[in-house]
Amino acid sequence: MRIPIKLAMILMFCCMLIVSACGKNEAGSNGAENNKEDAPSTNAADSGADKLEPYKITLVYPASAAKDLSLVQEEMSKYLTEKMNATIELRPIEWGAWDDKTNLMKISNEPFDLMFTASWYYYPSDVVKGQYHDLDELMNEYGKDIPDVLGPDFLKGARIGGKLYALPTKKEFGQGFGLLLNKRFVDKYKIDTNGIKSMEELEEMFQIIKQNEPDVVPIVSSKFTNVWGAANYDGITAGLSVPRGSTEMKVVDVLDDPKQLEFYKRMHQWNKNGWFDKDVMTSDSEQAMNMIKADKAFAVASSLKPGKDKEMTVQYGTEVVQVETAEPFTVTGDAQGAMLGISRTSKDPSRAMMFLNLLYTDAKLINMLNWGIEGKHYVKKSDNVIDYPEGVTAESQTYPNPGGWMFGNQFNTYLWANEDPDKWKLFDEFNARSERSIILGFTFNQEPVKSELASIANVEAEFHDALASGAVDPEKTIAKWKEKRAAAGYDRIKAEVEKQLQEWAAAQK
Amino acid sequence: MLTKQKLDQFGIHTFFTLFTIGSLLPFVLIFMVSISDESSISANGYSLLPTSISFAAYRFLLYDFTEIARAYGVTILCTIIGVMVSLFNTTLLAYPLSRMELPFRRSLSFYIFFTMLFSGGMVPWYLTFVNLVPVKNTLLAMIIPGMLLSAFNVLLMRSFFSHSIPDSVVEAGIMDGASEFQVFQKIIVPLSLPIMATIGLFTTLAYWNDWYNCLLFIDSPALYNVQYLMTKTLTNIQFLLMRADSSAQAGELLAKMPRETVRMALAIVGIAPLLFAYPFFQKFYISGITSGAVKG
Amino acid sequence: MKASEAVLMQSKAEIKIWKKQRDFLRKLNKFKWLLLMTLPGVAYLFINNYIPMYGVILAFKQYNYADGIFGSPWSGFDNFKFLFNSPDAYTITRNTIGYNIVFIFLNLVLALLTALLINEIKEKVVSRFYQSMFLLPHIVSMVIVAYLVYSFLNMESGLINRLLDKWLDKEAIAWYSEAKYWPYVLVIVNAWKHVGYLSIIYFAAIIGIDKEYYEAATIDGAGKWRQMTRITLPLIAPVITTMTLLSVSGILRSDFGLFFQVPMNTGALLSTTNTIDTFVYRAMLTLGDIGMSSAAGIYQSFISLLLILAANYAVRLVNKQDALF
Repeated sequence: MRIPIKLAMILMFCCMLIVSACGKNEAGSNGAENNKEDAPSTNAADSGADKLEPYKITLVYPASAAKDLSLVQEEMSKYLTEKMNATIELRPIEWGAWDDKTNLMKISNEPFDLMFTASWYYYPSDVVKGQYHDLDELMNEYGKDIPDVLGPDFLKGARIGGKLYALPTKKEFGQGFGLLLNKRFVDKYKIDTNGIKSMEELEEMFQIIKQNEPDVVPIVSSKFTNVWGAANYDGITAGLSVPRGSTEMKVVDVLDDPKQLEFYKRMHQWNKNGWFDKDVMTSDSEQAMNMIKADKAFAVASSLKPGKDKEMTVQYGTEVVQVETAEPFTVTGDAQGAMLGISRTSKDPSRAMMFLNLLYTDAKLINMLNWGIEGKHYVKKSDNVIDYPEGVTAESQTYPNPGGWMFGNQFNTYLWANEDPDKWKLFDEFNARSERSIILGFTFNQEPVKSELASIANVEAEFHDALASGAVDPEKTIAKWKEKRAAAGYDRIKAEVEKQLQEWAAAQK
Repeated sequence: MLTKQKLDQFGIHTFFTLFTIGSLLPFVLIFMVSISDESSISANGYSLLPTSISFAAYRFLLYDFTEIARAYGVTILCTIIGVMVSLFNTTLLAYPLSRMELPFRRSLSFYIFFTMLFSGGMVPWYLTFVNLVPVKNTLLAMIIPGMLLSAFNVLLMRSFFSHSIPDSVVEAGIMDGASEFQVFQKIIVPLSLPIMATIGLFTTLAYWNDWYNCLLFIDSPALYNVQYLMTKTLTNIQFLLMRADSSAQAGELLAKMPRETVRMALAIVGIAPLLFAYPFFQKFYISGITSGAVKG
Repeated sequence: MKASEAVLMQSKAEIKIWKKQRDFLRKLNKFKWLLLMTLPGVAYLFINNYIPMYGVILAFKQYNYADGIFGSPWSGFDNFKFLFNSPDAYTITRNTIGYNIVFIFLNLVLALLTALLINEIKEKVVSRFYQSMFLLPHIVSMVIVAYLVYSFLNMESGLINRLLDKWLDKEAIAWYSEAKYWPYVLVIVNAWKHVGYLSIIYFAAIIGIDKEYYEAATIDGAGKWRQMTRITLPLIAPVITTMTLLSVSGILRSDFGLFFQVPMNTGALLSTTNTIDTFVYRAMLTLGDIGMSSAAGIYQSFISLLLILAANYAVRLVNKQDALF
């Protein structure tokens, strides 16, 4: 026994040594790479191409590390060296690791320049915690072209407390609302999909399906409630909203709004009619599309934008057509849907802003970031249409798009052969058409009432789904919801929202 | 008498057969779904007998085979080293605590137990390892932080030591002039092989299934372990679905992806090697340590 | 006389103290190797667990990135408020503790039974096969378990509803909208996942028992049942006690996967599926407040500490050796 234990110990120490040596090698080779990356920029500085000091910009965004990431990085660095004597380090972080890793980066004061952020990814709370630079001055000095590209509404929506902390991607600005319909049944029953459909017209459609196709579910999932809500209210928090079309900045409790009650009653009726799927409590869009594909369902609610139905058709391999139930609507969240912020830990915010300026104005740079290197990762079919090179497919590509919607000016990016060549024109029209909310640009600061909001989040989870799917009697459930909500401190939240909105409104004048 | 015994055995085997079916059936279901045709799953739900078989999910996952092979290598290496060191440390700590007369016994036990109750949270824990023990972006990150010693295992092993080894045995050993360390080696370890095998097995499972350390400490895809690679693939699909409408390219990729079946295939790829290796492990743990003990 | 007596008393006391010190040093010397053995483990726990414990101050801070963990302003007990002000405070505490009590008790009984029975199997290979099977549920992740449960319980194609419909001629049950079924579902899923794993621990304890006890008992004519209750159970009692005490220390915590993913995060089931951990998770989804989540952790730890101190004291009254500390 003595020998095995000693042997085990020796083995163990050997292993530890090997492992730690491996680790060191890894770090060493990384270091070497870094040096290599730095090298060209110093050379460029020596050649005197620019008066600017060489600088390495770090861009942090959610994506999987592509195989050819370093190739693209090198190519971008070459180009950036010419333009502004800078190089770039692309730091994609896996989606699943994003929350943890970026949180640790922020807390441990790690230096980096630009980071992806969004209203649905803690932009407002990170601003409260002081993660991002105030950008107005920087933009005036180093990002002069950006306001022209984005336009005043986008910038207004991106502000928090009057200050700009991140720059939004120029993409669709607003949300359309409606349903995706199974094309087979649309054709079969000659359903008209033009124009904006009223509730009554929708009900007519469902009635036809229910009568003629007993095995087909007219509408899957309770998502329609969310879509309808977003089309009719600019929700701030906890059901406190400003109704769409309102001319004054007055906060309304949706549960008190007769329109909302009427809607819930309608959903209850739909449920009684058997128009929803049996699993409406748990089903989501994914399941809905699968059922549509199997011809087991007719419709699913969805937020819309031009060409949404074509995208879903490609994605699920089954034909759907979209029908609108409301005109598009723009709220603060749409301006903050995808943004880049400059970190407080950036060593040179002015250079980061110069880079941002290029992302909004320089088509070559943004296409490189989005699609890689021409000839290797894509080939041009026409001026702004591209496709895979010979022999490359969606699976075998070595630089899959990190997310074109995450950076700069999406309107400058190439379109793929399977996309509508007029996509950007349609987007322009859509953006112009979308109705702006009266409180566009208002962001609620949760900090003063966070403990109440924590309780409310659980109360909402309890009641919302049941009402949305029409499974329960609306009046009774709303009464119960209100009672429990009051116990969770709803009045304090309401007072805080009203106070902040008033202050914001006063500052707008 | 004999018939009663037979009846007992029959009853016991019936019980375990049911137990086995209960454990195994969900696994068979997972496997069957993973080799089903995507469209039949989305139309008819999960089924034990797939109507049409397709390996599309595995083709999708194993598209880049070198990546998975490397990840298996990382997992296996970290598991083997981790389990050895961890078992060694656990035993070393648990045995002294099982001796009633040990000075500071209660304080030490409480010191260990307290770590099960209170934790400073993920952030300071991460910072400690990044600043104090340079494990970031090394294999050590998947061996050392959080996993090298579990208070639960130490306390469990302690209670085994104190119940299965009579004090008289230790005292007799010391009377014979053996040092404490010799007693530990020659008497204690051989007597506690069953528990060492059990805790070794649990530690193996813990190391094999860990992906969180990899998520936090590893940036380079070359050092991803299998479970993280699988988890990551799954979350990436989910996020692609959520944001797919923003890229035609992503949509095309998603169209080709067997989403329902891939989830189950991921689970199979993650644990299958462990299942195949398990009987071997079991044998190794028990016979390997036993023979070592006999020779010593 | 009195003075000398006092001196004598004093010197006696000094001798006593000195003797005590000497005994202690002797003891220390005697156990120095054993104490040295604990060193690697103690050092590891110090680095891995004790140094990071400064993080608990986050629970009392209004954290911001610029000031960092130590520089951020203090906020007293503000971060704890949401745990007590909520109308769900009672429900989540009841669910967390209630489920844990049932889990601890039921899993113990089932795992002991399984371990005792597997000990009765004579064929080594068969016994080993069964043990491997037990571990299968333990290694499946809860996300996968959630999908499996869904495939049994959904309305459209769920196996159980198909069974009810086809063979029993009963109405299908809307499992995901009826909270009343979920205590059973969760207890069954939990037992399915953990009983095998626990039984292996108890089995390891049973095979550690000296065979001589059983031989003697057989000679005395004791039957199987008597051997089980008079020999096996008393001898593995310390392990049972330790395992139970360790479970009690987790009584305010809950398996997030079991309570969030298995019910598919369905709102209608919250009255029987919401626990402290899922409550905090839902609250943090939009808030992402590091101070509040660490406050929740401290609350759970603190209550557990009180409970475990009481339980440990009770065990010490009976048998000092079996107590945790």
